[in-house]
Amino acid sequence: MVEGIPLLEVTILIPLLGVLLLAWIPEDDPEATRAATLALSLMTFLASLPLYFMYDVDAGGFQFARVYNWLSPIGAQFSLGVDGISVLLIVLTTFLVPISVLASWKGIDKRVKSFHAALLLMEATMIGVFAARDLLLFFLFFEVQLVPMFLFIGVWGGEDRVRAALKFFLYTAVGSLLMLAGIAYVYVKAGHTFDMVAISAALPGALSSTEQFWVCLAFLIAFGIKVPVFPVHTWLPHAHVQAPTAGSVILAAVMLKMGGYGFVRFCLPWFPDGLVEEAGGLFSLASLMTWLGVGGVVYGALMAIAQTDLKKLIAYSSISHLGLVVAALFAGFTNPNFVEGGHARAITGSVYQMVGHGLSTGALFFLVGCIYDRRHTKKIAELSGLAKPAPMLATCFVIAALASVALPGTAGFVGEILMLLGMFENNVGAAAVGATGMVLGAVYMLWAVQRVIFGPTEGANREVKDLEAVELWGLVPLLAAIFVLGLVPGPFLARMEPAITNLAALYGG
Amino acid sequence: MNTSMIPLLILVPFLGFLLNAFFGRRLGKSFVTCVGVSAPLIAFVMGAALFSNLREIDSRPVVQLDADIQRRVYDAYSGELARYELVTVHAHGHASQRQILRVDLPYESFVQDALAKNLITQAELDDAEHAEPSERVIVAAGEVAPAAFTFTLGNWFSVGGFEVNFAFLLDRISILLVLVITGIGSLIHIYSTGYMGDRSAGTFARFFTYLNLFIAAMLVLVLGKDLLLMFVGWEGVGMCSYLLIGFDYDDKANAACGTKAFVVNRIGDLGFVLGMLCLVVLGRQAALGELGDGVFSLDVDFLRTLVDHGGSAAAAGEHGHGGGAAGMIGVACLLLFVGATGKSAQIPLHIWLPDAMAGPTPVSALIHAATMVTAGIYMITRLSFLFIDAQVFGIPVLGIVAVIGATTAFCAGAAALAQDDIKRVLAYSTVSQLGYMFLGVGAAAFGASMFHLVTHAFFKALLFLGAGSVIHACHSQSMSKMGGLKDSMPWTFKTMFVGAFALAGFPLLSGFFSKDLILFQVLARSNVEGASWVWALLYGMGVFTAALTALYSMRLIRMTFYGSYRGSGHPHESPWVMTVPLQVLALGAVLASLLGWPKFFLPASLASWADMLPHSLHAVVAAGPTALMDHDYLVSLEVTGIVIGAVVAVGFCALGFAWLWSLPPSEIAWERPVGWMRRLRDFLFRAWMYDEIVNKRGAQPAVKQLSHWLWRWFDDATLDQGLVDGMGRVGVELSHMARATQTGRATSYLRMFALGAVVLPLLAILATPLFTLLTAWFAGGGTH
Amino acid sequence: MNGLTTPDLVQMVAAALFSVGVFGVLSRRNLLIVLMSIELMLNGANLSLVGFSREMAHLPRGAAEGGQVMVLMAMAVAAAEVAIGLSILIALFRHVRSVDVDAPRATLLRN
Repeated sequence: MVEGIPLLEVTILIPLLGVLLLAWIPEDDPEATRAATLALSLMTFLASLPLYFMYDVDAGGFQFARVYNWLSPIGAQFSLGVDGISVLLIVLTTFLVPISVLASWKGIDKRVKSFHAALLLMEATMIGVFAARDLLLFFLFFEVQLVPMFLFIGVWGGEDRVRAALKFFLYTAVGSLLMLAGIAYVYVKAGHTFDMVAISAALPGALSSTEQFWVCLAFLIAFGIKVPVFPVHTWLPHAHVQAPTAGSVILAAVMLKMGGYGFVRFCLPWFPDGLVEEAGGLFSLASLMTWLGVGGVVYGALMAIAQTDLKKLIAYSSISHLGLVVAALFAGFTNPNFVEGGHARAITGSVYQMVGHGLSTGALFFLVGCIYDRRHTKKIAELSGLAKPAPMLATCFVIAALASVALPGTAGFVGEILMLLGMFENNVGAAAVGATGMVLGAVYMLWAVQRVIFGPTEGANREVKDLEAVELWGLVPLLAAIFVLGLVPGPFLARMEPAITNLAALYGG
Repeated sequence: MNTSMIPLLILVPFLGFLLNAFFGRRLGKSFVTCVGVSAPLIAFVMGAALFSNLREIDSRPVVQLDADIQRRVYDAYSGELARYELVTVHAHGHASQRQILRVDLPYESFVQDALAKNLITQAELDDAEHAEPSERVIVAAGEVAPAAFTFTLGNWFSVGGFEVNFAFLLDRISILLVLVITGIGSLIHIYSTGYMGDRSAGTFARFFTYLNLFIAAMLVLVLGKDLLLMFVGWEGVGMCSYLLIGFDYDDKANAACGTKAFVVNRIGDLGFVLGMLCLVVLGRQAALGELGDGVFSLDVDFLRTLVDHGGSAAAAGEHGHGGGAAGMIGVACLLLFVGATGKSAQIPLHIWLPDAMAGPTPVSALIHAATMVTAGIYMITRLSFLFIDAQVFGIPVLGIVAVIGATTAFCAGAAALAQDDIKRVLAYSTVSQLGYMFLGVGAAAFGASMFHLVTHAFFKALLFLGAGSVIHACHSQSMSKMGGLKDSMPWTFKTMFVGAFALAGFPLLSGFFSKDLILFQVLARSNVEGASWVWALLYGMGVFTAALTALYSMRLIRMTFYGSYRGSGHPHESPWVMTVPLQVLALGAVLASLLGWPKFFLPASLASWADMLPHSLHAVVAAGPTALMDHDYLVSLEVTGIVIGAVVAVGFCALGFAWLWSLPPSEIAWERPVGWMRRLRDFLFRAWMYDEIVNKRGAQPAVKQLSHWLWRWFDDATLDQGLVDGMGRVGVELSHMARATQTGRATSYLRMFALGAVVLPLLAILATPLFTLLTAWFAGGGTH
Repeated sequence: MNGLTTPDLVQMVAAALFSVGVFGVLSRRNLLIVLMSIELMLNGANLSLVGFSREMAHLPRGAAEGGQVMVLMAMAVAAAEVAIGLSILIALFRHVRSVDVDAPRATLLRN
């Protein structure tokens, strides 16, 4: 740890202070605002890099941890810390925010200051979610980051933005409410403390199997809405279609991962008995989540095939990909002869895919934003043959599409193979169903590419200009990162390993 | 030095890809030509060098000395020069451990020295050198050339005990394919500079970028030692195929064909992945058992040890997947075979290959004839030790492979007879010939299949490139618009003539020997007990298909080159960049027969040159049941097979060339069919209606309809508007109802006061007795 | 005196007064009458209190007088309340030009 510098706090504070800083910039100078935000977000990224590189893999556990006095009378502290999984997600966040700034360089031209302020606020709160080690603090950050996204969609969004924003906010908030009930219960039972480490020590022993079932259900619903898991997914397509480009990129790449992170951080270690407990002799929560997950893979893909709006198609593809991510987390619990190694592999693949999916879907939304900036339409029927006038755009799009379909060499492949392997070791049926996502993904993705990128160029598509420098600056690092994660996964996996080994061992025994 | 050349083999084309991708357009066509053509050429040269290093294994002397003599030798040379070693010998599909004495001296010096020291007499040495091959044991090693080079670049990733390494293996199977890929690939690259010569610089650069990337990916597939690395190459070539089929993306149909190819391939890849996962599970069970060290992977060597240790120890108890490890291996092999059918266009996943002809002709030649489509056969040959005893529900997996291969060969051959597009004839022909290779593999004749793979690569690439030349000249792909080109395109004609006869299996050309070797093995297999009637049937199908092959090859030659020109314009010969590769390939198509000349055709002095290619693979692949048959009987079967093959080939070539298609097409009944012939021809033209029924009228509309229906009625109407928006509406309705109390009228407010004033005290008084009543009721389970 | 005693009768009269007042409040259309009915209710309650006060005369230390004191307090408050109520009525009348409870513009506070 760099002597004395509280890195984690700095990473959260830079964007927060940035919000204040932006107030000084005059409203009629959007260029300055954009430049300042870019600089601030790059600073945050640089500040998060030491977190990644100096994470001590051999030691494992939570590092860079600090505790500040906050609400001691009720047992809530301002406690921060990262382990292998959260450090990856934090770096993902700080990596993607500058790219979102570049994505909205041309697209946002009204209320530019508020937009970038909201973006920085969102960055701070997202990092806070991943860094929080206190349950109340986690909840605080979790809720607060809904507000800037709500504004994103509602103010700078498309035509039907208000409805989409409301739906997004209320849907997610209802889930969080359930989670709050669960948190309250856990608080009481674990000895009137919100500290996650203390709760981890107390749980799962402090709760009976039935209690675990209900509390876990509350958490599952909350995070399930966030991911989103079929069938509580209907807010996502609307949100994506109406959101501005940067909003979509951040939403898909980072916010959805909070759901997965919640599963890994809370549901898996704290409620293992609750997951296995069979309700009415019919199903357990684990098998429910597993089959909803793989069902979502197929369902999301089928929905994507039927879409006429490019952004909605990618939104449903997210549901499809993340369905497998969710299923992989829970598949281990569905096996009466639990295979610990397989469970560890599945969780590893799941977290790795969270990062990989964030990058590839972020790239796809970025590119759709570029197309929208030029053609002002997202309807597939109105786009055709963009490869001819804009070859660079087409190349990037095809690369991003192939990355999304988990082509070997891209990050998605490593994640997918590990997930499928881990699931296969514990639940062959679910793995087989989930693997069909490989085929279905190719169907909708390549069909979309065929219609939008290839084919004859008709009408207004002929005047489409190719990618500009600003856009390339955002896109190339994204695509490069996809290949880096695909070809050299070693260091990233190493950081996750201690956390995941502990996680799998908790249940294996 | 040898091993480090292996990654270079892949890196050189990859470098070519990068250079062309980033600088190709700017630096112009000559730069692209230089880089694009030299990349595979350099790789070919490196491959040839590695090949010569591998070849020395045959020059290693092999003698057997009995135990006494070994003892004497050991005592004489003990210490540094002689030592006992335990080696694993693979024969008859089984592995056994033999102890040999290895002496580190060149053979000649050893013999001289041993004779001089009276360790062995000349007579004993003569006896030893003439022992039976299966009894041979290596004694004097000298300079032993390894049978394989391996190179590990490092660890890709590992989680738990599961490891995936960037490990490459160059052995006799892979070197064959490396030479084919880079050699024929280079020729096709040279050809392409002419074929694509009139395109713009950007398009030219893009073409060679993709071609170089393809070569690199294909080399990864072939050199990958870890199954997962092979899969990387597997998908990589699929991606390149997608990009190259849809290369002229202006035309909507091309992109659609590319998508179809990728999706159908992916269905196969799904099977491949599931098969791999089965093997990993088996590996884990073994690694965590008593014999394992906790590390497992999909490395070929590791899989070999899995099979060697069989269903022992580790498999017991876990999961119980239908019969333990053996059942799992069977399932895994079946799933891997599904992957092979996808990549190599066999039934039921063959539908993408004819449509893949939408790509430029060099692409069809390289990818869809010579290299990518052979990946399935390569994979099964590489994993022959796995497939050899694999069974699913008692049915041997290789039997299924053979049946599908033969069926595909037959159906595709018939379909080729009914096509008008010259490229589609060749496409169906490729599917058919691949069927032959799978038939061979299914009969455990791995060497024969690889031999046919090599010869087929020559003459099929030749035919495709020739077709490209013709298409270039005539600006049409339709054979009914061709004709009479033998004078206007002499070199194209001569080379395609050779190619077509090679395809038809005309005696003494390469296709004859390779095809008949496969058929002979099938015939031999039908004489081994166990479902021999199936194999006899497959043999019959094979012979019938050979007849069909001859017919459609002759039809192609006749309609394209003979008669008078039925098209418009003045076709002329192609430039030398295009005809020279054709000539080289034609030479290859003829000379490749030398690789597998049967023994009884050769005088005894040249006996060691017989069946070169198949024999060279004997040590590396598993041996089928025919290896145990009586030698003389096998020879007689081989002669029978050759005679039948020759008769069929010559007869049907004559039939096709001299009679059936000797007239102009307008006067041939088959070309202008009526009545039943028309229905038959239409049926065959549409490839037995398989694509129509299963794909165009089956899978595609079903999926589209399902997703539309599901989207409209379930996701949108029920879930989103019904449930989610519905909850919103319920909330709004409730608030409407609640608002009714806010009338703004004082009277109603007073009424509410009065009501409250009465009800609340009542509740307060009744609260306690009511509460006790209710809890008594619930606690008592509903009874008072 | 068995049956109805004087204290019972007093309560009954008080209840009757109260009921008449409630009836008037709930069903009369003229706001002035409503206000008068409210007064009736108040007086009914007062009467009830006085009646009980007389019954409690045996209690020590002037506990019984408490009822009568309450009545006096209530009357004072009622007087103030009537004054305010009538002023509101007059203010309403100025806007609506009617003392009808159901007058169109009287329900301006309707949602």
